[in-house]
Amino acid sequence: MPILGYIAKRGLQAIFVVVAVTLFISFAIRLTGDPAVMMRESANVTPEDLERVREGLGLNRPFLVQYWDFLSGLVTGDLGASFFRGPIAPLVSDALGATVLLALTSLVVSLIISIPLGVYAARHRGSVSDQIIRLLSLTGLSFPNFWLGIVLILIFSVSLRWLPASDFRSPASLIMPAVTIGVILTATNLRIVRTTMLDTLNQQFIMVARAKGLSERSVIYKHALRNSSIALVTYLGLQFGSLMGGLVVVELVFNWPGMGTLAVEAIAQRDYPILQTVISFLAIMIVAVNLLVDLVYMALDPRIRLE
Amino acid sequence: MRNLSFRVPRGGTLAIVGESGSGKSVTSLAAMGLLKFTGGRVTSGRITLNGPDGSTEITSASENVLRRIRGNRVSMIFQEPMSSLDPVFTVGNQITEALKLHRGMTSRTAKDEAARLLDLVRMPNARQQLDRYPHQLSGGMRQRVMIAMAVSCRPDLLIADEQTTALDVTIQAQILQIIRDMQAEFGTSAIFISHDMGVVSQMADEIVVMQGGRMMETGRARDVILTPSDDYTRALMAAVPRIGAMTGRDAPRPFPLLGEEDIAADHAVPEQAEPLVKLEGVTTRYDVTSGLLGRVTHRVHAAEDISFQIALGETLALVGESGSGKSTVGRTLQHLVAPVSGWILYRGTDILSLDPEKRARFKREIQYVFQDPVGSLNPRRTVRQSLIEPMRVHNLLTDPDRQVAELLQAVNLPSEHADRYPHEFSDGQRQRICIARALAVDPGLIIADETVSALDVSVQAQVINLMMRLQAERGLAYLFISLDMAVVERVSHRVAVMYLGEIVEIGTRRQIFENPQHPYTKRLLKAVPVMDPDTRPERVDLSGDIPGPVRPVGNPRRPHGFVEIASGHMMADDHQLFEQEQQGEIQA
Repeated sequence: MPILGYIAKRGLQAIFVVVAVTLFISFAIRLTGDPAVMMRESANVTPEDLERVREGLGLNRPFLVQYWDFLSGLVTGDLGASFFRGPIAPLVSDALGATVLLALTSLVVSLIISIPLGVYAARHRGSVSDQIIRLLSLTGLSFPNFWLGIVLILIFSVSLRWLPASDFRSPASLIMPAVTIGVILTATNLRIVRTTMLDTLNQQFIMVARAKGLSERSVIYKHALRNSSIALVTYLGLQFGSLMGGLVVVELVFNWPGMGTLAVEAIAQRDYPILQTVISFLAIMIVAVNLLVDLVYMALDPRIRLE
Repeated sequence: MRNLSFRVPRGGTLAIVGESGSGKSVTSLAAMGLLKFTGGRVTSGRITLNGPDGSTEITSASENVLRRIRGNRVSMIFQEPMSSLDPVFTVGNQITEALKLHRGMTSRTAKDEAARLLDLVRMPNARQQLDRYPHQLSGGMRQRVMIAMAVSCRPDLLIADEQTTALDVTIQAQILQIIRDMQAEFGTSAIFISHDMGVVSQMADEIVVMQGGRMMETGRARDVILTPSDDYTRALMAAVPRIGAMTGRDAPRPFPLLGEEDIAADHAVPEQAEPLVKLEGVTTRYDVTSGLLGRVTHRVHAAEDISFQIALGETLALVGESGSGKSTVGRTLQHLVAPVSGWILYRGTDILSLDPEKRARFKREIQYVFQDPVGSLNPRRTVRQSLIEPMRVHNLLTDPDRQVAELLQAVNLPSEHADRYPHEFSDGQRQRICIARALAVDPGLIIADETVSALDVSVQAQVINLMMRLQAERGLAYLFISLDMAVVERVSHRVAVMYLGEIVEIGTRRQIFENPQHPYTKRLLKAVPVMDPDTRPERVDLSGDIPGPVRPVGNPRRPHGFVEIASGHMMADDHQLFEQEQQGEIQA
């Protein structure tokens, strides 16, 4: 099956990406400070004490040896221990779960809203409702997400006291972070759906479908939407990286216990092992999502199926 | 469009002819009640469909009623087979849609019926084709699918909008034959919308001639073609290139257009010692790579062992269908692609062995005019800027204003238009600008690659006359690449017929058109629709498609030699092989 070969090829690419990204991050973070210094609690620590701490953490070994240890740990599944917070595996798996939950909720909600609205706007191009939808989308795009998060907290947590302001305690905690991410996602998806739908509706095969006597519903939701969803999927794949970036900020605003929060804390403490692991997982996720996008793309569009 | 009236008799065929902007496509959409989807509407008048169950008024019918008519009682074949089918659904899915909708079939019976329909339009391996996607089919095969779809519910009326314009002539002949067969089978009336008088003459019982949204003339096909009464129709007919119109003449001559009759003199080639350009054994291939390491597994044999020569003041036409490699030859000659082997001699100099600096001079000598004048002019530059640029590049700029004025004058455009932008011109004028730009650097050879193919007939005739006048005045040589045999017959001194990257026959125009020898040349000439209402077209062979020139590495086509038929008339000696291939006896 050529498809398996293709997946294998992308897997190989993923390995290169993870190595390149983690190597860079591991090297760069070591330039920014010394965890041993961060650990000292009182002022009267002798240089000998610091050296002992470094030895204990394995930081006195050459950089490449440390990096190799980390890589082989990643492959064997032994993620090791953090400098300050015990074993890494449970930390990362909790954070990964929280992040994926948040990302998927925002994505699903945004698609449920943006597809019908985008289709409607495209079909009634130039009408008042189209103008309103476009205006709303532009407004959504104009909010910086951290600002939107803070405003939501001020309204719904501080003033109204309806929703918890931070942490992940109950499903209600999910609402505000998901809305914050979702607004931006919806605003852009809406534009993509509207534009690609307009393009597709002008294609000749749409007129052919109408000339066959198909109902408008069938023309729009069978023929037009499947064709325009190809562009939407491509866009979602490209957008995934920046979605991750946005997530980090929103996680911090809501103190959401996800990968972003974990990474930022690890950077502040120079906790190399956690940071390296988090970055590796994010890189793997991005490669995996892009692979997924390619596979969906092939399912949607027979023209790019592998021969 | 205004005030148009016509009636299509049951079982009869009406053709609407006219040039771009005449409103002929709007008419077809109106007849289907589809106009509102393009933002138009019928402001007055009636369109009535008479059927066995009473008549229906299309213009006032509700969308629900119209949906039951569309694809069922009235169906349509659109112009572009490449964009008429939804790329993401299988052919079978798209044919069965209408069957399930209008004939209430279940998926299973609809699939059987779809296979039967594809069989009816002579689709090879009909049942397997149902699971294929449009992009896996050639243009001709897609158009067969469209026809199968259109006749699937046995419509009373079939509207065909330029249904063969984008197809090769041999494929066009097949499609026209299939439509005739379908009409006979189901007793369907038809409206043909076309700009091709040859097609119209073959298919229509009655003709409506339109211009600028008005009906200019209507009547029986024979009368309109042979004795047109309206001035516009007469001008239109005069501009139609007719194959066979040049029989018995040695040299090409311009169209006898209204007001230009005086220039209709023969254009002979001046005597000369050596050819301007000579190709010897030129072979151009493109690599096709595949797999992880990008190994070359196949090669496109775009041009194989091409040899010909063109003299000053001479036009050599290169004819052939899709994939014949005629454009590759043009691009190789202008060094847009490098050949694998062979020589190109220009005024006796081997230009492929020159160093890049010296070669630049020869780039000036050989100019290209493309098919699409919109795409080949920069929309953000004025005509003046577009004309000056090549002169500046080649250091020919002395007096810009005078030079631009002279160039525009040479192509019959007012020099005041120099500061306009391309969008302010019509297609024909834009093509003239492209010609002027080619002339700007004073070339010896102009490669005209489908230069007039996209133009309306009357404009096409004017541009051809212009090109012939420029040839006579400046001693230009043309390599005229085209698939329109009637135009080729009009303009060329000599003709080379290409098939799958090879020249199969070459000779003077009279030799090729009056005494074709190679079976492919014969087939090509037979496929051209003739504008003569008194001869009904011969039946064509409905099987077969044009094969592609892609071959696996290490499996080149067997090289062939040439036999001389007469002085200067050569034919590939593989003609028996060709006939066997056509009959499917052996694999190419």
